[in-house]
Amino acid sequence: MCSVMQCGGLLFLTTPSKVIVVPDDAVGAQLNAALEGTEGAKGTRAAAMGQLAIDDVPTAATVKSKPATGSVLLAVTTAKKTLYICEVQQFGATIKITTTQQTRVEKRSTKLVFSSLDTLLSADKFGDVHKFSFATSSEDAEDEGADASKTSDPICGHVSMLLDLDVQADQLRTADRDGKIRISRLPDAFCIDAFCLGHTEFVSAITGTADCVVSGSGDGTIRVWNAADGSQLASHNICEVLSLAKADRESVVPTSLFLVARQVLIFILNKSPVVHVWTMTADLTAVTATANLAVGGHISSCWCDAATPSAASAAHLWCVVERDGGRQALVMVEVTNDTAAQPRVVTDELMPASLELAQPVLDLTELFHDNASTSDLYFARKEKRLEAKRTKQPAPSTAAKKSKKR
Amino acid sequence: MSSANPVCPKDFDWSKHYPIVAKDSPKCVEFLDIGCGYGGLLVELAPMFPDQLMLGIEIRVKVSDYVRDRIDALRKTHEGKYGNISVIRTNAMKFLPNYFEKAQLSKLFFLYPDPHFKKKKHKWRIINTNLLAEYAYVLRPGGLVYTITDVIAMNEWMVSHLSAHPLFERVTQEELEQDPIVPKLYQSTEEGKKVYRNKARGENHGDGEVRVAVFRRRPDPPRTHAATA
Repeated sequence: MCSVMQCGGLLFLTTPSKVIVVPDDAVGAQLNAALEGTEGAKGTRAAAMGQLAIDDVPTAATVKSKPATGSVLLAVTTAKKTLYICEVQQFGATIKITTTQQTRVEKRSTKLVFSSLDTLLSADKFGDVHKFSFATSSEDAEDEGADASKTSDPICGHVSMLLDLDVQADQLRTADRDGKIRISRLPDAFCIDAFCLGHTEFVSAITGTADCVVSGSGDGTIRVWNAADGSQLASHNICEVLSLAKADRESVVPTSLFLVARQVLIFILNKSPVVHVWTMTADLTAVTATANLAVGGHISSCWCDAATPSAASAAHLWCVVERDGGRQALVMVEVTNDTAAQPRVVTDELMPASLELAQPVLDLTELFHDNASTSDLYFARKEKRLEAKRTKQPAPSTAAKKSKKR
Repeated sequence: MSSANPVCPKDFDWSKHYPIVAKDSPKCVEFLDIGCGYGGLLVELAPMFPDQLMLGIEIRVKVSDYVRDRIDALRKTHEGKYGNISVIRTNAMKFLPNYFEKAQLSKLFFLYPDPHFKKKKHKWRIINTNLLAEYAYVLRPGGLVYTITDVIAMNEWMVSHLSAHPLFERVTQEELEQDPIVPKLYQSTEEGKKVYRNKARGENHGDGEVRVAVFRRRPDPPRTHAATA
């Protein structure tokens, strides 16, 4: 769940009841003035702002830029299973949000991705991916009206909760709680190209390019895979690469993972204040830990703007950072391709106390698998039973019963 | 017998299941009975195709353990036979790709599957649109899916889902009549025997009519090279 997103010069902040849109270059005072709805202090103008009211806490959100019209597509789903698809545009001092479609998802969405300018994919808790087609321009939407009865097409399903999904070239990559990553074709998602099998715990995040998949997992590794056949190219134990002392498993889960320029990997660990940058070798088999940048507080949510990895000369990471006293700050970090240059904090703005950004919905600790399986318990009991027969001793249960009777 | 699933097919040592196969042999399982119950079909087919490796998947621990014991006993009493069948205890809906490579199998069997009558349980029917993509993944083009049931609603459900799926097409009656496996579907298993026993007594717990439907896995369509749907 991204409580901050950035696209096309606009910043999107999601709260439990609305999505707020402001220009991404709004400086602290302008931003705070806009958010608090007050006049700026002497000489500062409040930043332009648009708002979309939503009917419950958001469970997933995404944005995509539409360069032809200079606008941005926004999609949000809520706990009430409502899906909003909107087009957002800045006209000078105003930001206009047009809802092109408001409809329902069958199950709560865990992740949303625009696979094209007229198609939205939603991955849900129950393991299915649904495809929503919508009108491409605001004019069409006004003609058709916001049609709440439009249904979606289920295109792909795992028998396990979906935790992340990614679209690259003509592939849909989906990752689930059982550690499986499925690579299916798009649009023919019923054709599975390959599975990436190797993770021993849930897959927390996936990213990649047209020819590779990079994934992070509850098993404490980040792995690289060949996207054509699902074969594993590399597996990196996070604790080892970062030379961390043995940490508990919750804190070594990469919750956000971004691949920029094909070889630069940026990621955040669960409830950690550090942005990690790794550089991979050209054949993607080895990795060097390039930088660890602390941002002064746990990062509860982050978004990377490098939509086209090969074109970006620098990637920008927008993070929501938890500071003391329950306050949140918006920190923007710039990461360049140049390995010599370290990532740096560009802006660090404390948000107004009244603004509470949406929190992640899924609790990681619940996603780890239980250790004992029913089979193991059955075989343990069977062993005891056979052992008791072999030594002609009364079975443990009857002995217990006898002692109870007395 | 540990129930732990392999992380990927390469990790699984099939030689432990099949005495006729060496550890790194390229020979692999081709016939898969999903929900094999007490192993009746495997035992019937084993002597018909002695060089084919066949596997049963059963989710119930006690039942799969029974099949294990049954196969071991058959191997002892019939020297050199039944070395081509085995069983694993796992959940087929979740772990097929863990055991089988892409396009590895040539036959999939669904004999008298659980009908899951309640509407909210339909998702758990062993044949549904999502799982058909996985079955198509492990089954090679030209491979066959055999289904049999005495519940008409279940037969209609399986036929409609398989027919609607772009990667499957129905096998004709003429082809079925040529296939020596089809007659074995009816009463090889305990389930099947029970259906006919009940029919003989005049009791019909199903719909009184047994229906077979077989489908072929079609080749993948050409790539469209476009992500837009």
